[in-house]
Amino acid sequence: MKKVLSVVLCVLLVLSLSISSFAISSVPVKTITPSASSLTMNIGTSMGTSVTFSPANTTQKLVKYSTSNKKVASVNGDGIIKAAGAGSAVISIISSSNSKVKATIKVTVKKYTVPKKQTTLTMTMIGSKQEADTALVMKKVEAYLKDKLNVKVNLQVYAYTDPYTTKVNTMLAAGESFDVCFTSSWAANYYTNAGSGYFTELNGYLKKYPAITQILGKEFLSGSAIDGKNYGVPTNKEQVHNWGYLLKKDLVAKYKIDTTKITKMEDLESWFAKIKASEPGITPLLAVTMDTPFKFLDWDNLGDDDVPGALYSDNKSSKVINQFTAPESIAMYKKLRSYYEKGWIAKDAATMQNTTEMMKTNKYFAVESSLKPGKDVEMSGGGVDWVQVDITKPVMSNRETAGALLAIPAASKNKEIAFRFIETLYTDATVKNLFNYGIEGVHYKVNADGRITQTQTGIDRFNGKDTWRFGDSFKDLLRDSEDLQKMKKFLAYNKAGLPLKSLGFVFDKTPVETQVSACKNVIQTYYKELFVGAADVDATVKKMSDELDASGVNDILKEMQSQYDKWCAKVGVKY
Amino acid sequence: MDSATALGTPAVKKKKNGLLYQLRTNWPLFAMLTPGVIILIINNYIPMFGIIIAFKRYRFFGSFFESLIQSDWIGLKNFEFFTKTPYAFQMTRNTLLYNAVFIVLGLIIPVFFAIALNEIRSKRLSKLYQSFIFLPYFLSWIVVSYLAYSLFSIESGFINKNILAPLGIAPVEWYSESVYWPFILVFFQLWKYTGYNVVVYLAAISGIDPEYYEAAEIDGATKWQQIRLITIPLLQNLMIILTLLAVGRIFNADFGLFYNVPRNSGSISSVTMVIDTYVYNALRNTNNIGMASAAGTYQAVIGCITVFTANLIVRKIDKESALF
Amino acid sequence: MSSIDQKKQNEIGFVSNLLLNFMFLVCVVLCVAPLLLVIAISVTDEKAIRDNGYSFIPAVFSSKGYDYLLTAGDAIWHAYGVSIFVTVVGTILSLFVICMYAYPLSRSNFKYKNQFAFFAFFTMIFGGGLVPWYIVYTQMVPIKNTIWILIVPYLMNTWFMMIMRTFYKTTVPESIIESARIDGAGEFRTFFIIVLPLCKAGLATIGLFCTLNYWNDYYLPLVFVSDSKNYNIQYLMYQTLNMVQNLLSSSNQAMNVNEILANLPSESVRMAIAVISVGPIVLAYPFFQKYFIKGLTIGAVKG
Repeated sequence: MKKVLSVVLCVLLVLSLSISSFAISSVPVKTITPSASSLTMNIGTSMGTSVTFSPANTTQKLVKYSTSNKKVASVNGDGIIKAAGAGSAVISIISSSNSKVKATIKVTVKKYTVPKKQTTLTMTMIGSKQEADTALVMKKVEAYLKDKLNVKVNLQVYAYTDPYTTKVNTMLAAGESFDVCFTSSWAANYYTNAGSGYFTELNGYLKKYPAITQILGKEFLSGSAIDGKNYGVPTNKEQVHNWGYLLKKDLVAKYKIDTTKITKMEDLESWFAKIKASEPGITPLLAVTMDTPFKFLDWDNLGDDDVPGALYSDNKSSKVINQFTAPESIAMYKKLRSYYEKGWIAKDAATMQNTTEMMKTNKYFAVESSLKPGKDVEMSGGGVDWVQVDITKPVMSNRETAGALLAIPAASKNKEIAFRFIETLYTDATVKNLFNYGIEGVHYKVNADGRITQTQTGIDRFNGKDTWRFGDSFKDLLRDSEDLQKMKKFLAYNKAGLPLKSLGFVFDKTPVETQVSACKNVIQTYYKELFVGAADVDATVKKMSDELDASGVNDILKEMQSQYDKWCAKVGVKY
Repeated sequence: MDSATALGTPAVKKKKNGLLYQLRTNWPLFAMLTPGVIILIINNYIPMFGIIIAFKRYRFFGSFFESLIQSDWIGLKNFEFFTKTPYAFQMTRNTLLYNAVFIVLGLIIPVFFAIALNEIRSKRLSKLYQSFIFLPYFLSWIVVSYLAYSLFSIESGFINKNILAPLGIAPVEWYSESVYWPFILVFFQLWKYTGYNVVVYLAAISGIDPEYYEAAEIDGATKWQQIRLITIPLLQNLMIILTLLAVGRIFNADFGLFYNVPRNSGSISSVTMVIDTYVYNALRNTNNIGMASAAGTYQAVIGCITVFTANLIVRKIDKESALF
Repeated sequence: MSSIDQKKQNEIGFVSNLLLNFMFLVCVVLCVAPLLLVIAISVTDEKAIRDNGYSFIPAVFSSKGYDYLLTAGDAIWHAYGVSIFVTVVGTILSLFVICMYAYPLSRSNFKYKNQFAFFAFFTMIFGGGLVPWYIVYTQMVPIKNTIWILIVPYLMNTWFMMIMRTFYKTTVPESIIESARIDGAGEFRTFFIIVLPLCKAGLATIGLFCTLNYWNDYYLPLVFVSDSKNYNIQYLMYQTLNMVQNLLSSSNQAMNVNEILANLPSESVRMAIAVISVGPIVLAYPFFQKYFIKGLTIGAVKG
């Protein structure tokens, strides 16, 4: 009996030990929360969902998806839901580790309400050029949407950047009636055009047709709102940014540089010195216009990049400062000046214009760049390969929310149907990819792994690229050069970003328009020299700040501060 | 009609000078003017109502005309953005000085070239020179800016690499040294437009009656005297007109030249910034048609004043040469 | 040709002739060299451009620039067609409008000549701005979507009109018009049969300027044309040549500048486009020049 007991005790001990040792390496999942608890979808559309786990550091991050009614909605292993027929269904998400941890999403699938009369929508889009087969592709779009929206799209593509801006700005100001319009912070300016009343407020439609909000998330969508009103819907793509270096791959290999050890700007300096000394013909650092390590300061600019007025991007203080004369910036100018004097930056850096073309010259070791997963692979090719190293942490700021939006001009006569058409660019992969790459079998072929290869006809007559311009980029077919895991990595990257408290604040520059344009000119005059270290720092900063003072920089900062404080109070942002 | 006859002779005289009388007797001349007048009205005069935008904060209300009426009046506020900058003096000075230089050189050099081309013995060579000098006019400023860059680029430019380096002279940082730019800009302006102006003057010289020269030669005039006393006085009319037209646009800089050729380089902006490039940079992308309109109005008003003054002076000296 | 004989006796000295010839030779080199450079770059290999900079002699020859244009094919040829049509029709019509407007202004006995001169001149310094102008052609004279939008706005050119007026004044003696009138010729007859033939050199000059005006225009398509079938060659070139510059100076915030730039045509392609866009007009130039030369040799009173 005693023996038996001791054996049992031993077994129990071993068991408990093994259990406890197991528990040390695993954090059990307690709850899972889906990105949305209910979804409304149209037949034929699809929507991605994601799950957040609690506790956040859980090691049990595997879930299984299932549907209650396959005829209404199906779901795959990645959580992408496809709407098959009208009705409602429940999607269950169950943790693979613990079947008691689960969540549900209620899905309501509706039929499109098809208008009887066909509408012709005129859409202006920025791009390289109007592709030769545009009409052909639009015929296909028309046929596909016939029993859904019954629209015909007249797609007008104007070239980057001035042709598009000139044309669309004129059309808007003249009150010409067109229906869908690309806008952004850098072409056909979203903020000023919305501010002048040229765009339709979309909040009503966003409420009535919730799909876009479901896809983008309220937080990201509110980032592009002006005073709580959305005048455009941003593309769903990378929602965060970070800065770092791209390093020339062959040199990294040659010098056996451990890129994981590089986490700040200074870490590369010894390598710069070594490369300058032993690699004739190679300039260590490529610095062009604003693409210089100045970006590592990651100022949260409240106006344009060349307008004074910014916050630190650490969410700690609400004080608006002049980022061009801040102590950190001056220290940065001095550091860059020392780089320049050591010959680490080319002597004519201040007059260079095209970063990408300079990168192709094989003459530079490192270049500052905005990063995202796979950026190095994207920029590689043409005989120069790159490796990326992160310097700053991912941040979600206003920078991304206004990079590419679709808006409906105020003079449009088909606003509602235009909005529903925009919605299909977010919900319907077929429509999105028709606009991206043209017609399957004509302009591209689908490979066995699901990625696509453009045909020669595609390259010549409907050269699909720049898919970030509209809709939901997560529905894009991947090109054969792209990482199969691209979308997953992007989602993870988006999640890792710190949302800045200023997200959604838009500076209304009307009260200080004069000062803003005057200061812009001052910055444009000096920043190139300072950002590449081509000018004596103290003298140049002095001249610049004197001229900024004369141009009314303090009026801008004061106005920004008061607008920002008011906004914070209104939306409840606290520091 | 009846009342006119009743008023007697003074009225008849007045009628002869009246518009109706002129219309009746000179109708073919009026008919000739008609197509041009129609085009000018459509293309230029109707759009002038838009000038009120310069005094409004333009906001969109349904249609353009409604917006025009409903937008708020803001007086001269739209004009502030370029009077209240530290560059106001600098850009005005640059614009005026460059244009003054262009006007003077654009008069002297083409006239000299035109006369010289006319005098060169071999007509075939003359024709050849003329063709080649005209060539740069075919190039757009964008292409010219690429050319300039291929010459002045600091690291790979033709001048630094193939001229200064073999001579052992240190490379010049062209795009950051402002001393060179007045010369570079003037050079390219002349380079592009001289051929064009030469053609105008050459055509005018060809229109001069050869009998003048024949007569002068019989009188024993030297070639130089013929040029000075016949050619130049007969070109005077054209010279004055072209100059007056240029003076009228003295506040409008050649945007293509000043925007493209210096490549927007900041450290030389003190000598390359002109009103047009400043306005363009300030308004790029903001779609503020109020400010754009204000800039145009400002340049036009000052242009008007300048040209009216110049025309008045010309009128005083020689009535026939005046523009209007 | 008595005037040629006359010139022979009435010539400048040998030394001055030599000096002038030398001077023009220098000018010719200055004017032609950069063009040769453009042509040279357009046939240079992309990598050679990057390594050696710009050079008059291509280090490595490559026809890639022109190959690209051939593949981009129909759009360019179509734009060529548009440019040619607009240039030919536009030049003829605008010569007509300009010459007719200038003629009455050159007549000293035309009472309203100053008023009409001013009417035209005023438009040169005063304008309503882009948007109202756009409104006119979209709402009042709705030709925005036709090819006429590339022609009509440039039909009347005050600058050329003033030059033409001076031509009439210097070339056509009032006495000729007077005698024609005495012979019983009407104003139109006098103008078309007597005055215009006297002004061939002027017509050729203005004609050339109009041709260049229409051929080199990218602004009208930039502002008005929405249908790519009405794009002209200059606009196509403007799009590509300008893309780099504008992207960089206007889009500091653009997240995707690098992606856009990576897809741009290379240096040699840009230069090749420049070459083919200049080509036809250079070829048309001798045609106009023939008339200048005629004007030069025939002289004014030979008509």
